[in-house]
Amino acid sequence: MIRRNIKTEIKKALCNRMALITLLLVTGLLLYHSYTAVWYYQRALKYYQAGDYLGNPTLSANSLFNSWLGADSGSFGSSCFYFLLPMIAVLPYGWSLAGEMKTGYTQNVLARVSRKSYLLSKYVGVFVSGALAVMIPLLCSVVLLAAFIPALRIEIQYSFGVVWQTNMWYGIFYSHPWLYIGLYICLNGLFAGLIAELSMACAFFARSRVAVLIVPFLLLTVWDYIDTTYFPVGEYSPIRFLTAIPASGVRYGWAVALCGAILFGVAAAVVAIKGKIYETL
Amino acid sequence: MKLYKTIRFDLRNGLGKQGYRYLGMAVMAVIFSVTCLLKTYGYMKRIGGSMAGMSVVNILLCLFQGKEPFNPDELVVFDFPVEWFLLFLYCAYIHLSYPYKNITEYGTQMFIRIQSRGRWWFSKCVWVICGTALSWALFFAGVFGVAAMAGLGLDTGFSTEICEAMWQIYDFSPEKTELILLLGLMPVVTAVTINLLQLCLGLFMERVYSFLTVAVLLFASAYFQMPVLIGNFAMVKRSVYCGGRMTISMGLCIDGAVIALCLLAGYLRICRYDLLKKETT
Repeated sequence: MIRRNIKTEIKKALCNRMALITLLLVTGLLLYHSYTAVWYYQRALKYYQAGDYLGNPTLSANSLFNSWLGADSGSFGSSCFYFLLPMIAVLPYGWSLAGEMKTGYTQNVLARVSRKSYLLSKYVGVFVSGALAVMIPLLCSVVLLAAFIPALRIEIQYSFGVVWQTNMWYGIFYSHPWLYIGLYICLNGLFAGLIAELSMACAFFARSRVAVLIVPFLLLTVWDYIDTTYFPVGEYSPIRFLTAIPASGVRYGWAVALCGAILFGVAAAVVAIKGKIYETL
Repeated sequence: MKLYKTIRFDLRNGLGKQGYRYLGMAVMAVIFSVTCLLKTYGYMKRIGGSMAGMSVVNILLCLFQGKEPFNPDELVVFDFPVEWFLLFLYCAYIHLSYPYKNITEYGTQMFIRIQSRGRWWFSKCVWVICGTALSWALFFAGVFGVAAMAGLGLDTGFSTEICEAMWQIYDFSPEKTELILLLGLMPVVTAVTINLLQLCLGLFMERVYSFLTVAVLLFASAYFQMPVLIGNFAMVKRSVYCGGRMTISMGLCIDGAVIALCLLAGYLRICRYDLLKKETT
């Protein structure tokens, strides 16, 4: 029964109007970013081919590994993508529980399936939708840009687009860059899923669909404010540590794991505790 | 129902009954101001600088400094001004829901009583303007309160040494009136414009997308120095007094034009708005 519910929820999560609109919005951002990345690469290439370069042409500074959407932290497309990531993650299906509770659909479902089955399948559906909303554009960006920008291995002596020794997975970045990209896409997907769960947890406090969609975004912006203001050394905010090239400070693996555990713990605890209350659902 | 009665109804329901939301602006003002003071004190002590001459203007400069014009060619990471964002985003969020709840919950009743769609629209615009003014009044009250408690000057004098050391604001010497307009008027006018734009867009698309549009507009304002991105006028570092291109008069003209356009577009839209369909969804 649970398996059938999960299947239904995933189908609902992926085939709805909001998911389609989100996909279109993110595709627009992705195309804009790809266009600017290719434009910058072509400009650097022309400059190099003209032969008026004095000294080191720093070719690997324009590599696919630091130009894809997840790594190009200086571009508008990439910065905007990470700024909006909490909204991109919740838009496809984060609103579903709030919407279903408001319309009374939940009561109809609960008459047929158990509370645990309903909430678990909803949890999986919301997680998958959030993860895919972020992973698909990142993956598309890599594929699209690979057609235009060569995948030159990054050299550490250049100052831009490199990962310093003080950062998580820095060794993989230089030895297995493709694996590094894959790991970051998965990490982005994991956190996007967890952020989408926040909106599901919000549904127990606010019935408004709009509030449920916007509150996680505002919360993560406040989290980012706390990170930049009180912890200038180190990256503890998902908006910052999800970019593949560390923006500033130092990135610790334990901090990323701790933030993930906090996000998971808060959302799961709210869903588990509030979901049991008969009057709530 | 006459226009003033409609406005009174909106002010009572939109401001009076949701007044607690506006306190968030005062809370943010206190938190940001105290943080600014502590950071300034700590930094000036560390470099052996003087705190003499620090006033409320320094705190406002800290909060509205925004970001210096960003050049992607410098190959640096784009770091967005989080405090500045939070202020405008929160202000937009608290003005997001009321007008549309007004339509969807008892829309037809309202329009029958008012007997004019235009009156409804202009009443909502007045509500947005009053609400924005109230939220920023609370914000300034919070900042002035913290400054008074810290024993700082409440006049227009300020410490240029702190401006240069803390926020890299050099040669900043506007006239007294210009300073008041830059720090007191421009953020409020910009917020009014953004909130009216959001209100107008909400008639054409879902509320969450109108909020998303406003968030992207603010983000783009921090990234690009362009007059059409109105957030630029609320950033001190983009003003002509800090070597930027934005003047107060240009800001007032563009904001005025956007407000006029929103009023007109919203009026034309509300006259053809399908209320029955909205009420049933």
